[in-house]
Amino acid sequence: MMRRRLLATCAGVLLAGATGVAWATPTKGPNIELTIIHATYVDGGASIDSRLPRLPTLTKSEPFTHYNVFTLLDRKQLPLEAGKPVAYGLVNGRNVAVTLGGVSQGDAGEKRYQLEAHIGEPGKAAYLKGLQVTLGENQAFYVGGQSFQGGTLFLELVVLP
Amino acid sequence: MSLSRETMTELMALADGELDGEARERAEKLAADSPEARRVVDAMRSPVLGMWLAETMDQRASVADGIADVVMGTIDAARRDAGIQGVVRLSDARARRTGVTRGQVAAVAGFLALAATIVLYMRNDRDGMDGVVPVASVVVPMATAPSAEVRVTPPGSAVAQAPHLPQGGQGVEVDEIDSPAHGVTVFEIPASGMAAAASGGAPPSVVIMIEDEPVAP
Repeated sequence: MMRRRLLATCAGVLLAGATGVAWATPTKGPNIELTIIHATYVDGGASIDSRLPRLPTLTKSEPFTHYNVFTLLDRKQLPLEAGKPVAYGLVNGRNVAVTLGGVSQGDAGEKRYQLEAHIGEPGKAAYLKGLQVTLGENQAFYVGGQSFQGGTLFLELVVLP
Repeated sequence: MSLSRETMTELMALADGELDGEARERAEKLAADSPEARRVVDAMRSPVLGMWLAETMDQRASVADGIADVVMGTIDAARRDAGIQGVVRLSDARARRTGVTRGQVAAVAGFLALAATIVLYMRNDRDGMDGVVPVASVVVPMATAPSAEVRVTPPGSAVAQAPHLPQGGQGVEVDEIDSPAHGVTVFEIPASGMAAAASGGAPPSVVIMIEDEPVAP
């Protein structure tokens, strides 16, 4: 009985190799780019960090209109792997964790990424218990509202292929 | 004068043309048969008497109005001296009372409607807290559109719900927001126009604003 099973398994492996089927081929996943932006309002002093290329247009819309100075505090790229959260420490002591829930195809055949995000601080109630977002590559979404040094933190999250 | 008071009244009514039918026939017969009754009718129909009656009635009416005005004015002055609101004519008071009543009814109806809305809102909110269901979905359309704000979580709500907005393409979709202790507002930012898109401008996006301070339970 055992010998028959072993033979069958070996035959299957040989057959797969002959037909070119990839068995559990590891593929390199996308990356999540986290950008931490500090937004404040200063009388008579509007400025946007040149390393924030998306902001000049966005600042014409709510809620960015409440601020006029945008500074890049940090930027990090972390590899995304389905089901495995990647964590990042924010400047205010909280941690943000992002998990790739899955990848699907959009209407035009493009990749759509399901992300789950969590922001919390050890020993305290979660600031953001859970957030599920679906977006395409190079599309950004923002999580704002955390007070920091007289202003507000904006987290820019972008999935990079 | 041998005519009774009732007969005189009937004859005056005949002179004024206020009678008809059997009463008219009876009064006309009396005026035809009785010279005294006929004189009464003729006198009543006389223009001289009519003018005299009209002047007399007008004088009496003006005198009555004058007395009423004097009385009302005196009462008004006395009440004003005593710090009491001025005398109000009954018709005005009725009109005002009616207006106030309508206003009160409208206010009560508005309050009840508002209370019902609040109850429904809180009930829906509580329903949303019973179970975590995949919920909120805010889609940013690809087509250019004015930015919009969707407040998806009233304070204290565990799971945010937002309407699935129509979309011209696939942008950023917010499927669920779970922030039980913080108020959440979702802002959609549409594409900034074809020119901006062609020049690499900002694509549509979503901003999820979460209040830093926890909401009191």
